[in-house]
Amino acid sequence: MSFKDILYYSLLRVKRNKKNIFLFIILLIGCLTITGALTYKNFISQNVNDLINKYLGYRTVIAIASFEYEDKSDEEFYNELKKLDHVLEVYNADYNSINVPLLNDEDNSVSLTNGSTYSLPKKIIGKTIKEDDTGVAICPIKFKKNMEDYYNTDDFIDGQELIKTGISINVPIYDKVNGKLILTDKFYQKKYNVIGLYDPVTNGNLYNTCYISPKDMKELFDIAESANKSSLPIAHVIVDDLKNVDSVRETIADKGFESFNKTTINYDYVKEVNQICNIIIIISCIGIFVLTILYIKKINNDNLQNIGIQKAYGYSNGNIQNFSMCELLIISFISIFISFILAESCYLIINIFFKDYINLKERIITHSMLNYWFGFLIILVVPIITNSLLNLFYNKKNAINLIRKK
Amino acid sequence: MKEVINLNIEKSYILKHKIIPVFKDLKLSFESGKFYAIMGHSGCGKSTLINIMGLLDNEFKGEYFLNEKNVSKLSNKELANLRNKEIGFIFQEFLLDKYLKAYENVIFPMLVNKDILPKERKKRALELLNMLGLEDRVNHFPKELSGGEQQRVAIARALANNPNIILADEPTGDLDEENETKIFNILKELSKKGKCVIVVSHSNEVKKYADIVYKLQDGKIME
Ligand SMILES: Nc1ncnc2c1ncn2[C@@H]1O[C@H](COP(=O)(O)OP(=O)(O)OP(=O)(O)O)[C@@H](O)[C@H]1O
Ligand SMILES: [Mg+2]
Repeated sequence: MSFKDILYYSLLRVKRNKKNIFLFIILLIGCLTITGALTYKNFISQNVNDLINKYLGYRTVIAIASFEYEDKSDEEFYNELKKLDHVLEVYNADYNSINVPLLNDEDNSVSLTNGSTYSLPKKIIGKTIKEDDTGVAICPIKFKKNMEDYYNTDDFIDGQELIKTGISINVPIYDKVNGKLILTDKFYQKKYNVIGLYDPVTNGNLYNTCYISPKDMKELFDIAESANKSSLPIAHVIVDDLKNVDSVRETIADKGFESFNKTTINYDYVKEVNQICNIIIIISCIGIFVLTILYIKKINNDNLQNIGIQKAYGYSNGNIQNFSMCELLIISFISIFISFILAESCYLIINIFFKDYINLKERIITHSMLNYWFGFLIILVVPIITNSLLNLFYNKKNAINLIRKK
Repeated sequence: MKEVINLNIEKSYILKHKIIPVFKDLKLSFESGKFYAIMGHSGCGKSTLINIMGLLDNEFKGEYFLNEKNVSKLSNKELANLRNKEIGFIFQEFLLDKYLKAYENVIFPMLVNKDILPKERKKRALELLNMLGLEDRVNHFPKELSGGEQQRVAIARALANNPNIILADEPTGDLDEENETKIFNILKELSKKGKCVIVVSHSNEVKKYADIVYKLQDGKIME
């Protein structure tokens, strides 16, 4: 019997047997549930991973020197840390970031952050900053100077506007006299040309954060903020990977320095989502399996006479199996096709729906094909296994026993 | 005339550890071109016998030669092939595939017969239905046909691969007299064309058509 004949007659029988709709619905719902659970699970962990990758804070360790370094130069302490494994960069924690007032706009400020190689945003529109650059900055595509009213989106300044005007600061200079801070009448003024823009949302920053070169940062601190410097050197230690943070902290402790994580992440939520999704997936698989077995057994019982007749008219066991398998695979493939269309439509609708929510901009669901494969596999494999098992049983029966079963 | 079936068999059923003997040392032979009737009271084993002859039941003792081949010695594949090409079986309840139209039901046995080319199948099915007076019923589903019509479709299906042996178990059991006459006439015609036609029936009507009547009683045959 040719494949064409099997396919043609299977299609006829599937089309004309309305009972197949039940199996179709079982497989469709099963496939959609599995795909949905997988998508959500991957979406959550993907987002968390993205966040960890983009936001340096999770793999930054703050290390404080021991008292013996009070007399030594700060550089010695930093060099000691730079030698450690898995450490990408070490810099003075004082130089990390600072809020400074804007020129001619004292009520508002800009947060200037040390733009070292590792701390700079991954994606920059325009030019980037090099270690020794001076008078340049990278600012948000949407800049906000009034942080008191953070959720008001009316006073955003377009990044393109900043490229034209630049950012100018005006920092009052303090002096330390006998351990007390005294305001002088001098000011540190500087204009930074904006040479590049970045997206603060995906980078985990506030809308008022601009990056300047480490050299400018050092200058700003040494002149304007020297009074604020801590007596013991404190370092920001950037670790190459989140999983190495603990071991780096251990070696730092071995050297007699104190350390803590700049930012920690709460994984419990991710774990919970993972567990719930896994349970849903397992239940769906079991559900599909049980319902499919019951259903195929039922239609095969209805079909028993037919199988007997096929035997009586010279169909071999192989022919009979090919026929029933083909019918089931047609139903499986239709379910796969429809669930694919439905799932894609859902993604589309969700994406359109969330498009306007600026904070979710990059969190829009990505529809990886990987999320489909498992569901597809299950609704193909389960009917094949069930049918094969039942056929093993029918193969041994005499035609007349099948025909007279009722 | 050529002998197509020769058997010498013993058959008993086992039901809940009890042995129910049906027949012992049953010797029978059938030739092509003849119309045989197998008669006997209910429960004497007529269906059991014809099922064995139709290769629908292979649980028996003894020897059964079909076209001079001992069927007990054949593989499943060879048996399937014999059922397909040498035997056409007609059931009392017609047993058509309810999801297939009349002509598709007739084509069904041809799908596993390599001797009939795919493009000839439909033509052949229509010819057979034509011959049985069903030319305007070819596109009907079984539920859209009367009992007599369904049985004629079933006969067309039995003839699909032009077998030499036609076996029918009470083919007119569910039909009225008019349809019974029609069916017996068709079967008689087939025997005249050289086929070996074996019919199990309660009806005394069948005696009018049969060349040979076997009466089955207490597991024995009286001619
Ligand atoms: N599958 C079976 N299991 C056990 N006993 C059976 C089975 N099939 C038939 N029998 C028994 O074997 C005997 C012969 O049955 P069979 O169906 O061949 O009779 P029959 O002559 O066709 O009767 P009827 O004219 O009523 O159709 C009966 O006594 C019946 O009860
Ligand atoms: Mg009977």
